[in-house]
Amino acid sequence: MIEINNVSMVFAKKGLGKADINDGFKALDNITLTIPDGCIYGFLGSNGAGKSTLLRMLCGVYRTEQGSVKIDGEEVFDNPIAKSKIFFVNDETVQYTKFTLDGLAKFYASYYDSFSFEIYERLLNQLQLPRNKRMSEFSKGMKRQAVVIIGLSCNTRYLLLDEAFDGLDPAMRRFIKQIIINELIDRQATMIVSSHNIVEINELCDRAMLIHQGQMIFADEIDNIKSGFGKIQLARSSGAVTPDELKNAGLDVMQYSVMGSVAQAVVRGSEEEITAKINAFNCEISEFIPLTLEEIFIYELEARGYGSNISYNI
Amino acid sequence: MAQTSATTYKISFKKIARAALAEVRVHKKLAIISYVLFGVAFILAIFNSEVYGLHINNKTIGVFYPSFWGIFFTGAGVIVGYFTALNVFRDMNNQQLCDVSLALPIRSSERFFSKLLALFFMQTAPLILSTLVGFGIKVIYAYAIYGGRMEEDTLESLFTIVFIALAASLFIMAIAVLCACCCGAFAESSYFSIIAMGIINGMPLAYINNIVYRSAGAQYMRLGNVNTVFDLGYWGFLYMLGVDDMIAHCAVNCVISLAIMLLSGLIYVKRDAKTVGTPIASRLFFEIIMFTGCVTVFSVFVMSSAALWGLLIAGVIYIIISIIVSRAKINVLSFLKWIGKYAATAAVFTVLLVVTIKTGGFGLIKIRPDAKFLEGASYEMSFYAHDYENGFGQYYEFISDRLTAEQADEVMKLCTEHIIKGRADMKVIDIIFGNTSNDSTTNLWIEAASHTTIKEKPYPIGFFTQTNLGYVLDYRRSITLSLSEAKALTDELSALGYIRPKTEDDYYPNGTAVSYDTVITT
Repeated sequence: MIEINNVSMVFAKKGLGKADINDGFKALDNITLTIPDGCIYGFLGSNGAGKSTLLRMLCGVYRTEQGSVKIDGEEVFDNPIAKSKIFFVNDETVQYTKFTLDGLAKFYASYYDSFSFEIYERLLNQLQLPRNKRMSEFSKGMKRQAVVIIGLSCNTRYLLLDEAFDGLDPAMRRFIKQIIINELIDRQATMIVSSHNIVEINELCDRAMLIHQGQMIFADEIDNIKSGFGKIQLARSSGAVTPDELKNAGLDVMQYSVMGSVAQAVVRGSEEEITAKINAFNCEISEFIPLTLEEIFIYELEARGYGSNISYNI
Repeated sequence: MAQTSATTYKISFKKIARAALAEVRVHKKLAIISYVLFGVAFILAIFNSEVYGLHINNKTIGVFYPSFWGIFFTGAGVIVGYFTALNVFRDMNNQQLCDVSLALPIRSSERFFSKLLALFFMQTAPLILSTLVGFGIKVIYAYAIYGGRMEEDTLESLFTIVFIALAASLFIMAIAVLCACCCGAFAESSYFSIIAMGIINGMPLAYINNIVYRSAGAQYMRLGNVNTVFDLGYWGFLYMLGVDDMIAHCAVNCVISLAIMLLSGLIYVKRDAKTVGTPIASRLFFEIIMFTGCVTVFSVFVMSSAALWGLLIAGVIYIIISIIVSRAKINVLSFLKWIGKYAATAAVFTVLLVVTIKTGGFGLIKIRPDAKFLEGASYEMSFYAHDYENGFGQYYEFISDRLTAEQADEVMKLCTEHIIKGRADMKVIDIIFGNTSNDSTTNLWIEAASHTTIKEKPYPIGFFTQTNLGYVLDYRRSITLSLSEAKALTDELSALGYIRPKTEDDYYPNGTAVSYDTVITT
């Protein structure tokens, strides 16, 4: 189990200087999260939200200066025992270009006692990648596949993938995901995936969290997240339902729009709770529409001013 | 906060060695280049070194001449060590490599030592092999041919080559490792390494030779003889300490380089990826480099009419480096801050400079050879009295006959007293800006020599020269001071009968001239 408790992280301004909590860039702000064993966890967030920072903290690349990050009860930073349970694939592949695939396997086998050449050979056969060609000659997608093979061959309990499916074509994306899932299920491992692709997170993960400007907005099972939001449409002949009416009825309104006598709003809460509240308005038409994860992502961020100030001239 | 709770984890050498080999594989190309260069050096050391027979007193002894090209290729291999060290520690200034490196299940201290071990495999081991074994084979061959009758210092020559190469290699790698650990960007690691190497070599030479010794008027001390091009970093200090044995120098150099590497390790283990990408990870390191860099440039130019040029050149370099290092947006405030810091640096240097001048090179002005080592000495001294207004000047030259040790000591004592007084008459600002040529000042030149040799190593060593037969006194002073005090000194010494004006007889037998007037041409 991974436990993240009250973790904050501040980067110094570029150039010289030490990070000052009041001066630098706050990448993470009091994040608390528990990732249970055996799940596939999705990290969602806007650009620069802090997903990669959090992943790097989970694998010990960053020291936790405030709060704690524990894997199976042990602090991660500079702790080989905790780190031997994790494999981290970052969002770039340029660091591997010097290697051949066999060379990369040997490199990681030097560090991970759990490295399995049996898994490596099996996955290599499935993906048919050239083993003795330098990775600088690989396409971006091939490099991604190669790193995933290595990651799985390290046979760790936790696999951390930062934008790991970027550069893969849809067919290969699906194939790789299937390979990962099969491997992880076999060994009861946990995977954490960060991605901008919400559809992918929706398909792949059973849990997700949303992070924005270093602050966690929500974290839960995906079904629970989805059932916590809804879009309502209310049509009333005596005049559209106003935002104040909605708020007075106890609804947590994230977004509101009106067209004639039809009001439309995105609200937080369960379907039962919201339906019970909107029934009180005696509207001719009142409708509850569940939101997709993507819509939740967009509305949550818009509610925080992200992306809402962009206007388009049509 | 305790970051590591892995109490059961044990640091293992096997793991370090395995990681080191993995590191060598990653930097395979650089390793191959090193092996090729050291390999060629090895072959040349055996086949291109020469052994001659020297006939002395009907006996033939072997003389060993190491291969120039063998040494040249060893030097080339040593230079590759700079690139190797920077690349092995690239994880400290490349975010992607840092992600790979710091996520690996190995302690940061183990990772650091694995990198040092990788450097040993790629640089130090082949270097020792090529020099010690390569030249060693030729020396053994020479001993075999001449039946053990080789020149006395043959083995010393062999070990000198090995130790110089080793000291140079460790010095270059140590500085590169230190800079890689203190910088967050590859560019800064690279050029700060070169700057740091320049400062470590140049600063002691420039400051001590140009300021301390000149403040004491002791221009001919040991440090003046150090060849800066082949100076391996810490020799300046070692010369001051009186260590004049080449192998000892190199051995101390190696120890200091290893200490610098270990110091870098303390920085390495404390760093995480947070400072990767930022040009400078350690502000202290940056400030030290900037300060010492300025001191080096100032020291080269100060106490001459080019002092202001030194201020300008150092200032321009300071601002340019500040601009390069500051990746953030530059504004007027940044400039003002840098100029302020530079002014503060110059102010600190000025204080140091004034203290050095006022104390006569931290008291060096008072130091003279220990009389117990002297059997006797003879002196020559001279100064020039300017007369700019009339366009004339007068040159005074004095000479002593052979004086006893006590007399010689008294002369040096009086010289010291008058020099201190004569320096006190001068304005410090004139000394700093080299504005010392006027009618009331002069440059006093004193030279003392002994003709008997001393077997015991004398102290302070700087006033003696080593010859094949032992040490001889070689005490020299050349210092600008007030003309009145120079005259007072020579008057007093003349009155005591220790010196007399130099005559032509002292140049040529039966000469007549005592002193002569000259016309200053302007």
